[in-house]
Amino acid sequence: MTAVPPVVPRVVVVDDNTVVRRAFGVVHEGLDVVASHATVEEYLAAPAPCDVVLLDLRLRGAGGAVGPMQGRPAIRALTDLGRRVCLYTDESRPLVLALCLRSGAHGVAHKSDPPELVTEAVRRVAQGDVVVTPSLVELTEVLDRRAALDLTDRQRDTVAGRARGRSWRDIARSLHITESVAREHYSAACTKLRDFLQGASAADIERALGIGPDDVLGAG
Amino acid sequence: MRHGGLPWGHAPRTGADNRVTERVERGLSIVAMTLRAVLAVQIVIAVPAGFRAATHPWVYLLVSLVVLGQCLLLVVENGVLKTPLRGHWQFPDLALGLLVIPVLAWVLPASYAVGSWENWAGGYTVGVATLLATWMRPRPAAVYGVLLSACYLGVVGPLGITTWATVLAQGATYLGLAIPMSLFVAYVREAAHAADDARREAVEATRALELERYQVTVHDAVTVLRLLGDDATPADLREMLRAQARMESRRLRTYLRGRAEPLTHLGEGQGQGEGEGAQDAGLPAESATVASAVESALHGFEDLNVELALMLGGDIPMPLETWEVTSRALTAVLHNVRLHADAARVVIHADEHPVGWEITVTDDGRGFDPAARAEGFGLRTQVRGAVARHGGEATIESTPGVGTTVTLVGPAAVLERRTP
Repeated sequence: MTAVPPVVPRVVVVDDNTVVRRAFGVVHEGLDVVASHATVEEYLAAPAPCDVVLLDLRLRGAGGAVGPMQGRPAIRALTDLGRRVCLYTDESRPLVLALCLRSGAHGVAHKSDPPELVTEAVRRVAQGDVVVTPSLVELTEVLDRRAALDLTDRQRDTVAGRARGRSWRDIARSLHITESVAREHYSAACTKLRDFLQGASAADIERALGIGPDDVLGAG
Repeated sequence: MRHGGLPWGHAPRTGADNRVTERVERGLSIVAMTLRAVLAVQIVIAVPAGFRAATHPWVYLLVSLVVLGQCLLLVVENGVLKTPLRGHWQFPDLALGLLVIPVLAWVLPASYAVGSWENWAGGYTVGVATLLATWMRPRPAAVYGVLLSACYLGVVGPLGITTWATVLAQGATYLGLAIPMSLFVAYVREAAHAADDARREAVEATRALELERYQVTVHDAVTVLRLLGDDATPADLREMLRAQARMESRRLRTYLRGRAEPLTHLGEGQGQGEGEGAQDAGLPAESATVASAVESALHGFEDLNVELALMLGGDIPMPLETWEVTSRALTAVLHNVRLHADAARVVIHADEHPVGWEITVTDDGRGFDPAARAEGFGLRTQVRGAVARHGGEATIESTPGVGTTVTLVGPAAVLERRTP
């Protein structure tokens, strides 16, 4: 929210799927794809400047073998380089995505989402926002219910609406605010989520989610 | 409730829908036949003695034969028609009743006017007044009773063979029989009509219920078949529809076997038997949760981009019946989304609720204006109606161009703690 938004975000795509790498820029006209790589190692070898790195969560090497850097280590490597990372994945398990946020990712977009939603998510990540999917919005609700997040009433209402899939228009109308104000509340709530995930200990997160000891640490 | 258009009497109601009325009419006609036959026998017994005592024996005999013939005709008519309401031989009865009192008083000595069966006019007219009740309404019956009383008083009173008190009391008998009997028979007929109406309403309600049950049972199958038969349906969706069609066929077979409730589907291999519902499949009570109801409903909808958000309410236990109804309602909602919404994303969210649990299904499809368009059968009956019948509530909000949200709220189950 603090950075000056670029008109067309510069994007680097890291995905092991050739079709995705080739077609992403064509399908997402509102994004400027400056480079695409099959692995994080490739990108780190020649890191082109960009506003957002779109990172596939599961990367396979040549011949489909699992081996290249991926997951949380990949996120950390990219954020250490000063890049904003938006995951581009089919993964929807809240805990896994929460761990990615904890590792420094700024947002999540699903491959099944329509191009306009993905474009919007990347733009907002480029602007400094934290962008989460419905499954992570739900996690925000859960953590807030368990008093782990200090959301305001408006942020709570906005998160509840988004967790239920409601449109911005519906949420704004029911709260008697404008859509842009609703988005601001939501963005602030998402930032609180990421701050909590990055700042809290594993034990705190496990306690807040009501899961067993070491489940967070052991989740990869 | 008054039936029939005749001013003096009731029009009979017949047919398969009026079984109680028909039985009452048959009973009344048997009573009328019996009473009329007894009257005829009494007259036959008295006629020889009356003939010998009469001052005009041949007139006496003629009147007696006419009345006996009339009695015979009415017995036959009642026996054939099985109701006193139809036929034409009641009307001569009225005339004969008024005629025989003065004629027998004329043809017999005055001493026979009271207390003898040689003058059978009194007994006969009391019978006529009583049987009026079986075919005439209370008011005209009362009028005729007054006429008979007046006739009796006018003829027997001046003869001076007994006290006026006796004559008046005898004259009041006509009214005393005609009016209460007419009221009683009218009451019995009304009760019979009410019983037939209640039965008819019950039959119609049962038919409507069965029709709704049938519609609920086949609605989803029709949706699946419609999409399967549509050439524009994509090939990948066809495979899912075929799986759903298999489930629907099993469910319909269960319905045809006469199970009481349309059963919800479980996933392939989830139930113990084909297409069995939660109770029939022996789903453990602790497995009937909000999350399992949602997951059960999702089978065959892999083409929809569904996001599940069940962390807050997924573990809430549901009563087994509620579980089935909720799963069916969610299936109906998803069929609607597939058919009408053209949605890019569907979010199913579960949460706690003061009543028990809350499930919302929100799509970002084309939506509709609820004020301008009536809800279809699926939303109205399978969702709103079915959930309400099981102690829950369904609300549907939609905005054209924005999407639709269906919210289901229902009671949670109270599970007994197991002792180790």
